[in-house]
Amino acid sequence: MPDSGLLQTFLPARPELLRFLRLRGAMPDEAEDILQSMGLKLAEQETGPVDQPRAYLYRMATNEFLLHRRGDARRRRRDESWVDAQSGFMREVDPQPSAETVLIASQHLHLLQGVITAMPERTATIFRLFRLDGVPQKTIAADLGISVSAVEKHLARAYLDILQARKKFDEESGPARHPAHEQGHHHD
Amino acid sequence: MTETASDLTETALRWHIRLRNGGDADWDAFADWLAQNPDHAEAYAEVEAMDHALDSALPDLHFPAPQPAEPQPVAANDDAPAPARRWRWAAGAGGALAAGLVLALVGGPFGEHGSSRYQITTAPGESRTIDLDAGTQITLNGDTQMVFDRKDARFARLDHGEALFAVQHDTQHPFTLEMGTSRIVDIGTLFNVVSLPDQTRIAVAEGAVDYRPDGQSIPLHAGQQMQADTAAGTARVSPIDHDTVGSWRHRRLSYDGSPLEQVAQDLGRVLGAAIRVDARIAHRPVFGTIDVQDITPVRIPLLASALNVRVVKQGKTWILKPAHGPTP
Repeated sequence: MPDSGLLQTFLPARPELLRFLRLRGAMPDEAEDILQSMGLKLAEQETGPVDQPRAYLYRMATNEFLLHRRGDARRRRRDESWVDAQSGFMREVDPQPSAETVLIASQHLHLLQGVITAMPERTATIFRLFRLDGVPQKTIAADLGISVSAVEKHLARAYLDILQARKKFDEESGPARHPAHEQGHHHD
Repeated sequence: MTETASDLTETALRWHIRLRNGGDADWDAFADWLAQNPDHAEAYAEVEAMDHALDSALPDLHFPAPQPAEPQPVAANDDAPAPARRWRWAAGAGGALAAGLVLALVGGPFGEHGSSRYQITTAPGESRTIDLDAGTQITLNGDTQMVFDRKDARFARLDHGEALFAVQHDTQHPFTLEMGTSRIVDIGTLFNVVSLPDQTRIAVAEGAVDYRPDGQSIPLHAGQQMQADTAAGTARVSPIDHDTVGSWRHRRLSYDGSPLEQVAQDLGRVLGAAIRVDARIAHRPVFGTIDVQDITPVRIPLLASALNVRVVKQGKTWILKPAHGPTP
């Protein structure tokens, strides 16, 4: 049974994955839900033999966890607009927030562009290859003729620059107003 | 506290970078690191959210052009399939998120939608699954290019290649798939689409779709497939077994009289290899199921007897020739 490899790894790895999901912050029943849907997906999707199967399962668990979290926030927003549409009740809409959101998004873009322009060219190129083009570190290292750890240093530098610029931006534009936070949390 | 907040952020960042292509040992070590201190998970989630927030901005950012002195090893040989080292087939199958991370920069032709659209491309032999919303999932076969809209989960465009669509029906917002000047509007369904330069094939497993080439309308129901010649503007509808729709996902290809030429194209997409057919047998019908579970490009000659052909390799291309033809 060459195609049941992942499922065979999944069953013994289940306790580890449960621990991992709990460590990531999943509630006990949420973690169980995620593992159950993983089991179903694995049973029906028949992948070929995978090397590093536990890494595959950890990654899958992470994806499911994030989809769960981000999906919750989206669903809540959708439910609200559905209620509005069904009840025929016009929620008092203040046009200000959406204009402000647009403004913040464009400021965010401007800020990121500034950070990237300020980076050493090689750092920016490595970041682009990794983050935009999805090229693995090992391949970037081989293509540029440098070590994997050098690639990772460039990437850490690029991400740190972005993080720092963002922190500064958040402090200046007030709390809880960043696009990143909309993904995970619910705003009233 | 032995580590400062910024040290912790940097450590979390290094994990985040390493894990993108991490192996078993990296993930085990990461779990142990999370267990050391609850602050670790929080720092990691912050880094993850920051990275995720880049998604919307990335297509609009300008990066410095790579130095001209740097040779581009991949772009240099146009016709060769992308090197296998880039993507493993199985590694792509698990990650909706991983696929979402690979956003390619798309330029001007999208008019006012410009910034919210993004492109996902699979290399030959690779396969990826994209979740557009809770009920809509799209699986891209190898050598396929699609465009999605971050602001509109009910839109997709298939530029070329093959994809399987599991679409949740919503009368208010029907799902629309664009292909050139044609479009498909779903009526709640599971369907497979192959888009080639001069041909479109659609097979419906569940529900129904409406194929609209240049404003016309061809309804297709479960158990039907359609083959359209897009240049001539003709389409032929025939029955198909539900179970075989999208069977390429399981690395099984089923045919009920399809021409060998089409079989070769399908094999090429799934295996990540260039496969051509001698014109003398290009239209020969193929019946039955080909299991390519254990087939890698180097093992393509194993298919010779199943397809009743002779397999010849010319450069990087496999050519299927008549089994008993004259030897060159």
